[in-house]
Amino acid sequence: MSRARTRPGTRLATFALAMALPFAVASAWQAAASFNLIDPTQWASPVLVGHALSQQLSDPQFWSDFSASLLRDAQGTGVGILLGLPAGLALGRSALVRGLFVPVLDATKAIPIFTWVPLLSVWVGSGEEGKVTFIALAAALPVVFSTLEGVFSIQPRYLELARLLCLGRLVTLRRVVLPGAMPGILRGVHLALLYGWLATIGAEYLFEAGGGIGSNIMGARELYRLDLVVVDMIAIGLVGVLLDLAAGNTERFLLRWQERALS
Amino acid sequence: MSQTTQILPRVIPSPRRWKLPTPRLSVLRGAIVPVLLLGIWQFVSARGIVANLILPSPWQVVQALHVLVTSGLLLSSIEISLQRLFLGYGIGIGIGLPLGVLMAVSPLARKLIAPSFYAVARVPLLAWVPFLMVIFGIGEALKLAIIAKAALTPVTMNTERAIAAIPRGWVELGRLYRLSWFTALRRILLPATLPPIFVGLRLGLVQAWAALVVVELLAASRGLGFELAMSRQLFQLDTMVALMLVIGVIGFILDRGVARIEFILIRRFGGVA
Repeated sequence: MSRARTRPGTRLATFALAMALPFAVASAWQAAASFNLIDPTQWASPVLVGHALSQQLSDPQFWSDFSASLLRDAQGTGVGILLGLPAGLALGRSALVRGLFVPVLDATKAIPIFTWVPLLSVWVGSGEEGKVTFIALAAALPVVFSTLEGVFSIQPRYLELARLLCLGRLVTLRRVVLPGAMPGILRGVHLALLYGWLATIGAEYLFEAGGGIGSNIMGARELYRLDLVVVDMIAIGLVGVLLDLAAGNTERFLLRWQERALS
Repeated sequence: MSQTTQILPRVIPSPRRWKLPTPRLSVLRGAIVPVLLLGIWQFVSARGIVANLILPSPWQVVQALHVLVTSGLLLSSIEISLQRLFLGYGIGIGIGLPLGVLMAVSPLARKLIAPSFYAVARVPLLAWVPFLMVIFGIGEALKLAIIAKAALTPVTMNTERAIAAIPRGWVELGRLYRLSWFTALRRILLPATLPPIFVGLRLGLVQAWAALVVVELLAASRGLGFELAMSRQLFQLDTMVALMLVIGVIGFILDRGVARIEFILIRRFGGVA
């Protein structure tokens, strides 16, 4: 189990085993295409995907779609986090706000997020505004709930101490609530980044087409270019993985002080 | 003052979550905002501040719901959507549970499958949609594949974790007492794994429901999601809001239903929550 015990040989074996399945699938696919068991124009093949990769990477359309999506994602997620954080803090700090809004929020949570798309497209518009609003909504909800949980996870004695010391509301917020709720807040931001990206792709499918990696992949689908579809899929997956890694590392980095304080 | 504030930032959140202000919501207080919203909504639409086309009145939504029910459209749509949901969810569980067990029990299978599984799980479901569209077309198979995939990931991951986390001592104890295969399953395996597996089943059902809505919005000719997309095209916002409510209520009931089954099973077999 421990890392010290794994010899280089076993690590190589682990890697070989991990690659066995993808390799088998890819070669079966390639073989089927090469021997014309499947129609390569419809089913593509790993070699064609390789060609598509170099084609996409040198295609300015791909890059403009890709950056349009990233920009849209950043706008929506940013707005969502900025709105969700204060809402979550207010919910966590005030029993009155909780009493008033938790039932409404629970009801909102019960509706799958994509159910909002048709309504938003009428109210906000089917273009850029609608998409960004939708992404913001998708990103804000996890921030609200995680921040709320984060505030609840603060040990009551710290809040009592703050009260005992007659700290003002702002000082309490800055010195007790924010640091104490930080794990929850960061978890919410982490989720918001992932949900925001998901919502970006979904928005580009469901709202009016207006440039973006989602429109790009759907366009490729309409042309039955499975090779281009696979390349776009990998790009979308890669962004998700990078966001996940970046958020996870930032979380650990910002919460170092906790481990120091605990040890 | 400055000294106290210097001490304070060293707040150590407890590792286990505190159970303190579980909001004891009085029903009355919880109803204030919805009632207020409903009042504003009615007022705004009655006064014509916002056009009825953009914001139908609550009464219109009720009427639209009534029309949906009496025309039989609602029931047939629900039937189609739920059929898709449970078929896809069943396929997802049927693959996900054995896969999770296999990865937890056999180290070789784990090393062989887990990296590919997690790589596939890492690509968002929505990115799989066009891929599956090329392969399956836009018929029924596409919907089932997407719903199954949505359920598969959480079910497999939680099953794998649940079995891997069975306390060693329990298994050894069972061996020590020479429990029969069946008794070991009944007394040790089920109590140890039921709660975490159900976390996966519940999550899987919620995600399958969300996936169903997406795929019906995108490519369907019947079902709740399709009717929702249709109401957008026909600009019937009263029908749209009514359908949103129905979709929300069904999602809520599904979630609570699994929670209920979980509760009954855990009470029956015992479990470490």
